Amino acid sequence: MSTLRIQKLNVSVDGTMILKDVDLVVNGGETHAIMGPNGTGKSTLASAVMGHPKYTIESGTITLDDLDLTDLPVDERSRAGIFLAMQNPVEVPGVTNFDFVKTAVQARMPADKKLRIGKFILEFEDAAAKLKMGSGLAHRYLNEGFSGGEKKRNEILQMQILKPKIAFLDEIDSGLDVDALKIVGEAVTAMKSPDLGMVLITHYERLLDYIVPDFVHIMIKGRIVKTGGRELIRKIDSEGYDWLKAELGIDDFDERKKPAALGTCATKVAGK
Amino acid sequence: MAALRTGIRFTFGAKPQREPAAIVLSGACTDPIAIRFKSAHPSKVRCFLLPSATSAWTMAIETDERAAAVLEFYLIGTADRVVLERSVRVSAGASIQLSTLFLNGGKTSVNDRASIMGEGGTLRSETLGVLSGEDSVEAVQTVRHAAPRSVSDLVNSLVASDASQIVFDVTGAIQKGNAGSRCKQQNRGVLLGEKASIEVSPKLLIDEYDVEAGHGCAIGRINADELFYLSSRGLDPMTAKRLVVSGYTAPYVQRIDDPALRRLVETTLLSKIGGAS
Repeated sequence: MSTLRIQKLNVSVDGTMILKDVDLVVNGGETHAIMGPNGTGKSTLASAVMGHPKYTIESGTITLDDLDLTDLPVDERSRAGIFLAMQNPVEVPGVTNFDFVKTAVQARMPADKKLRIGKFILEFEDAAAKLKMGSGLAHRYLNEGFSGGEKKRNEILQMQILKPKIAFLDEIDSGLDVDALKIVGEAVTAMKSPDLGMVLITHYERLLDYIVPDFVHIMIKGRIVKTGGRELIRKIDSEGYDWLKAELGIDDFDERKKPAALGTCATKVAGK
Repeated sequence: MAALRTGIRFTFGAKPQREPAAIVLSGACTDPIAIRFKSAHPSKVRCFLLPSATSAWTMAIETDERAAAVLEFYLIGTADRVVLERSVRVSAGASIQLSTLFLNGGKTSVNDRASIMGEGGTLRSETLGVLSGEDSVEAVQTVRHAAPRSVSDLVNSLVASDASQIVFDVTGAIQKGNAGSRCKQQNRGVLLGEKASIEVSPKLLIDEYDVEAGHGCAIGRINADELFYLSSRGLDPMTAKRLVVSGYTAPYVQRIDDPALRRLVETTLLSKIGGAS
């Protein structure tokens, strides 16, 4: 069982602080949900843990068991056991889905071991069938021409095959219709085990009908302002986030959007 | 194009082939080369061009009516300068599929002129250029539709690493009176080196209403999001770049059914992109 530990994490983008003193501990077997209004820093947290170069860690640490990930490159974080199911998976024309996943599996194998291709093909086909992705998936180019739902399911397929220790699922419910959401939800729930800790990032509660979290964190303005259980989901669903803003004294004024003067009117003062 | 009166002549398609025919041309060749495809049987020909210091080849490729031909060109080796001139003439009902792999080093200049002279004639041309070091390829490709319901489909896949330079000038022309014709061009390229450049000028000259014509061109570097996505699955930067490049090269490599030739092409490609940065 692995443990991801995020301590006092401060992250900026282009000089603007997005995450402020974020603390989070995720153990294997646990499912965490991070909820919050749009633009509050939820996806930034996932990308920063994965090591996206756009995000600068100003201070704080990210560790997986005894390994400090904070300064590791993206590929090493992945091989260490971190996975990010992305909100907008990129398309890579010419590279087949099968070749990509195979290369990713090989990247995490010891140099003296060889992939048993027959076994791998069966595993790939089985995972694709469970996600109802169709038999031609292996030979389609990576995410090219995929519908929104297919892209999200493809992320989950990769997660199933790569078997990470900690997985961030960044809004995997967006772009999914009700049936696809059920398929993805059931596939993710089936993966729950002491070997996998999950962090679901969403601002809709409907995903959490299918993947039941153990902990719910609410992020507002780059801070985790409240942590609780499933009861928080119901409250957010019925009342939104205003009650929490009121309770914690958070106003909606965004200090990043300072009003600017466009100019002054040519006011003529009487008598002058 | 007038038939060649002198030079080296090859004829295929008169008898059935059990396996692809091979033409190997090494060094300079001052005589023009004529390749003719007859219609009795489908033909597949591999043409290996192995240049030395300065090499120039002139080729005239012709099909009889209703001939079906596959013609693969492999340019392999290093030379100071290579000049390749090819004219292709497609007759009525004939189809020719050209595949050209520029795997050579040095400076290469190509002038391809294709004419579809007969109704329903089809030309498909796929070109892969993978360059490294200070190598260069300058290519002019022209397809002229001179018959109704003629079809041309050009695909150029280009990879430039280090300080290599690729320039492609691609023109498709449908002349008046050739209704029902289709003329397509697709050009894509990836830059792997800071000093590398790819310049493609696709052009369509259409003088008839009832036709289908289109061209596309996408050239760029591997973008940061693409690299992040691949890295997030555990691929180190070099493996990620090789995988992206394989998206350009794999369709060509996978078609080679001869294991020894396939290994040669794979090894050559790897040597060219292996050190790409």
